[in-house]
Amino acid sequence: MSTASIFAPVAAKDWLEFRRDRRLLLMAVLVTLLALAAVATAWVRVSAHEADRRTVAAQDRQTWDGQGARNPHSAAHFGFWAMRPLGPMALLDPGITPHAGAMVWMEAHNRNPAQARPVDDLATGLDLGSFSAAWVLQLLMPLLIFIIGAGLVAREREAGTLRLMLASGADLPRLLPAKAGGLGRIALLLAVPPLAAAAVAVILAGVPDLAALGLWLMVHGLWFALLVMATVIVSALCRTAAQARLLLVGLWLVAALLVPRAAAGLAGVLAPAPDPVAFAQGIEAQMKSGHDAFGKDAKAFEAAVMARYKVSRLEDLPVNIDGLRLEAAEAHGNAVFDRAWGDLAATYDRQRQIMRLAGLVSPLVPLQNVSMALAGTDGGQQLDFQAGAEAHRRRIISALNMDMANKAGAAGFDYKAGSALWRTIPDFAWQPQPLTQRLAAVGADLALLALWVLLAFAGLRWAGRRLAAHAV
Amino acid sequence: MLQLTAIETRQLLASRPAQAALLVLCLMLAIAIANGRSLLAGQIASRAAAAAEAGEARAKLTEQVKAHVAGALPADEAVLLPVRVRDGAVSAVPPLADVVAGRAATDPAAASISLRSRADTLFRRPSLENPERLARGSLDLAFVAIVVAPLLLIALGHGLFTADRDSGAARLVLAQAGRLGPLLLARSLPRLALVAGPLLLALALLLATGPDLPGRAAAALDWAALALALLAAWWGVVLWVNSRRVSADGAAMALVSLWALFTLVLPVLVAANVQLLHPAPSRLAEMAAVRAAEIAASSEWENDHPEVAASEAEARRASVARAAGVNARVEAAVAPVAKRFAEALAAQQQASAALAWAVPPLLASQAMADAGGTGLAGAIGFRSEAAAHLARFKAALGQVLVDDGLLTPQRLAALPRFSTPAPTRSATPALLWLGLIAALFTSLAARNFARVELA
Repeated sequence: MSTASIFAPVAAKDWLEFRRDRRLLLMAVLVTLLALAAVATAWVRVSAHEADRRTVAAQDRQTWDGQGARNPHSAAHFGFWAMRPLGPMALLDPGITPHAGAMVWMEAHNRNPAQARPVDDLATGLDLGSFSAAWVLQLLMPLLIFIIGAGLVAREREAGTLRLMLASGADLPRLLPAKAGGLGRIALLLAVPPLAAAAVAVILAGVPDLAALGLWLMVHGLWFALLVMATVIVSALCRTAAQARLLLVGLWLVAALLVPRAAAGLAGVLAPAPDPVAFAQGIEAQMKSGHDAFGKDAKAFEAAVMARYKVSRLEDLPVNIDGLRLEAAEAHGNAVFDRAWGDLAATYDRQRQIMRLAGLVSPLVPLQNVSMALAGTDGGQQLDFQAGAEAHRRRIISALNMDMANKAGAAGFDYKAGSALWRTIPDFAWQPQPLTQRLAAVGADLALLALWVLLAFAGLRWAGRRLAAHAV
Repeated sequence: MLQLTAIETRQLLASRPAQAALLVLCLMLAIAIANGRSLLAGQIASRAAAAAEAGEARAKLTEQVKAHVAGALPADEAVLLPVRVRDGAVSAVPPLADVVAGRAATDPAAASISLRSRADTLFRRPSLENPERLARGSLDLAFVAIVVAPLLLIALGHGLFTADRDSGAARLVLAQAGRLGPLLLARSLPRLALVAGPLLLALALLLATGPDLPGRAAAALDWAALALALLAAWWGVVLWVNSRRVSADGAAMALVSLWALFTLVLPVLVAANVQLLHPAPSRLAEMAAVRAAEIAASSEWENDHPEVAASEAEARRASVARAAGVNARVEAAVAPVAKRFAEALAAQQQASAALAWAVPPLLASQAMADAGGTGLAGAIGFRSEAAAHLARFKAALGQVLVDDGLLTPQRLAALPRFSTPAPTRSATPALLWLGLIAALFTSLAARNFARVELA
């Protein structure tokens, strides 16, 4: 009997066993339903967010345009809200968005942190992730594949069929790829419905980034291949199916739940984020200690402005000095904000580097990083959104200050602007960074993921040779 | 019995799965202890900074009020003193934040109370924790107790009796050990001790080396009781599955599936569905409504800068009073939206609490967080008390404005001070429920095992 003619019935037998095992079938059906429910839930969440954002942005614009006559600085205090959009790809992986503020209040004198984090309104206490397609595919599906595939080789050993195959002249190292192919077929059956549903939902949700969607699906395909190979390797190394199952569940526990959390904890210990009170106090102290065109530096500022306009009295200035004072105060504030928020971004970056190291122990970490980046829901996009809001705030406040400087004249703070000025203020518009930029940010993660897949291939070959050597 | 337990303990400690389980557990506990210490230190530092800030503001104001009484403060500065009064509403340090992180990393620890504050803007200094780090989740002692320890118990207990059945050694073992009950007890005790022991030791280590906080010992007792009750419930399930006619492999699969369902899937489903069942008004809409109300209620820029609005005392006093009026109008306009939001959140919380009775790990998690002062109940209690304090504070300062707008040492001393609300939740109902589940499954297992003995 040729090797191929032995392995074909083996694969058919594995498939038959899977179909006949009602427990496995039930689990597979339940997880598939769960994945579909996750896609539907994410659809509701993202659609509601986007509908809200559009409505509120329009309402906010109406409020701004209709605020009537008022001093530009008064308007600057009431400012604008910058709201973060969620693209169709956020349906697949919410990433960090449940833990990140969705809105930034853009006002004079302050750079505010993002507010309205969904996690603040979470009513339950056990945070094990957000219910989404990514959660099912990255966290739950591996467990299911491990449970289904744990006995694939170990059971053959327990039943003595491995010896029979050897006696029949079968090339045992080739058994494991055949087993992996069989399990891959089952995994494909499990993964296709949720992946297809997720892809359709993304396409229906808006104008999708098809390249990002294709890459996301491809990366998850690699993930499933990795899981299948890991399952077969462990099953080949263990004496019994029960041992293999528990070892695989243990590996899952470590890789999926413990390592990412341990790395996050370690990042918090090694590079702690500042306390919000101390952070605000630091900014306030720097603001007070710097240039103050309204207080201690008023005379010097007036002299400098008069020199610039070549006049000797404030009354002769062609501009309103208070508008310029406000602009100078903003310039000083902006420098302070750049330092403080720059330090915070550097802390986040150090934390990200520490967390990324966990990818050497768990392939889930690089997968999640790549998945979030492709979905546009990673930390880099959040920082980019906040930076975009800050840049917009500066443009708005500067426009308002300069309107006062150029038009207030002697009226000063009694000067009132009208809807003509309000309408010139542009809306806040932000889009996730281009795909190439997002991919560049996760280049190391992609390389690590590829390394894991290569290691799994090598492991499969090694386990096959070991199986042949120890089968008797 | 003692001898049997000693033999089983030796066998267990010599087995590789038990050694691996112990290694994983100890490693996780070490990380959880480090994380816990770091979090608690941050919580203490954050509150200390907020209290110091409030103290400094109060000291500075007291000096200004004294200067005003002594006539050393110009009248146009004195009328601004009510605007400059600051009080800090600082929440109590969660007594067990190092054991159960709960919401500690994200919930605000303090609010700054002043005449300009509003209930909806009390907490304007949100946590600056990296959302990417938060999204990975926390690894604390509670996570180890709720998620990791039960899985280790399953690993150690799935073949408690089923392995003997599989190998055909059950009759031999029974013949050597006598009755099945003592044998199972002798096998159960070292396994439970192997998992619960390090957990309790880690708790004791944190208590011994951590700060002495009010209510810490009682909270630790509650937490330990909840952890043990949850482990007992899981062990009851392990015994029950072992008592059924299944192979060790089948038992492992059934137990892991149950663990995944109750620890992983259902808590996430509950969290997703309570929000669908009781949708809160959008936060975005709430904030837009606030802004519209602000625009509608205010038209003068001195709302934010009374000190440069006018230079004369009377004009400034009028400006301060006008700003307070604007603030009150905005607060009134926002109140219905905030109320709707609070009602929806309360409904979500009730639904989550009700569903948690069907998901023991979720119940244990919420009860542990409440016991440790890091649960939702504590957060809501602090927010409500801070809002109530703000209302009292503004009413008292409002009276000062109505009278003559001048702050005296007596008036300053008479202003209400924030008092931290006392925790009200009790862990007893959750403990009783978990105990009942443990008793139920252990009795079912005992009944099944009794039949095995008779057969």
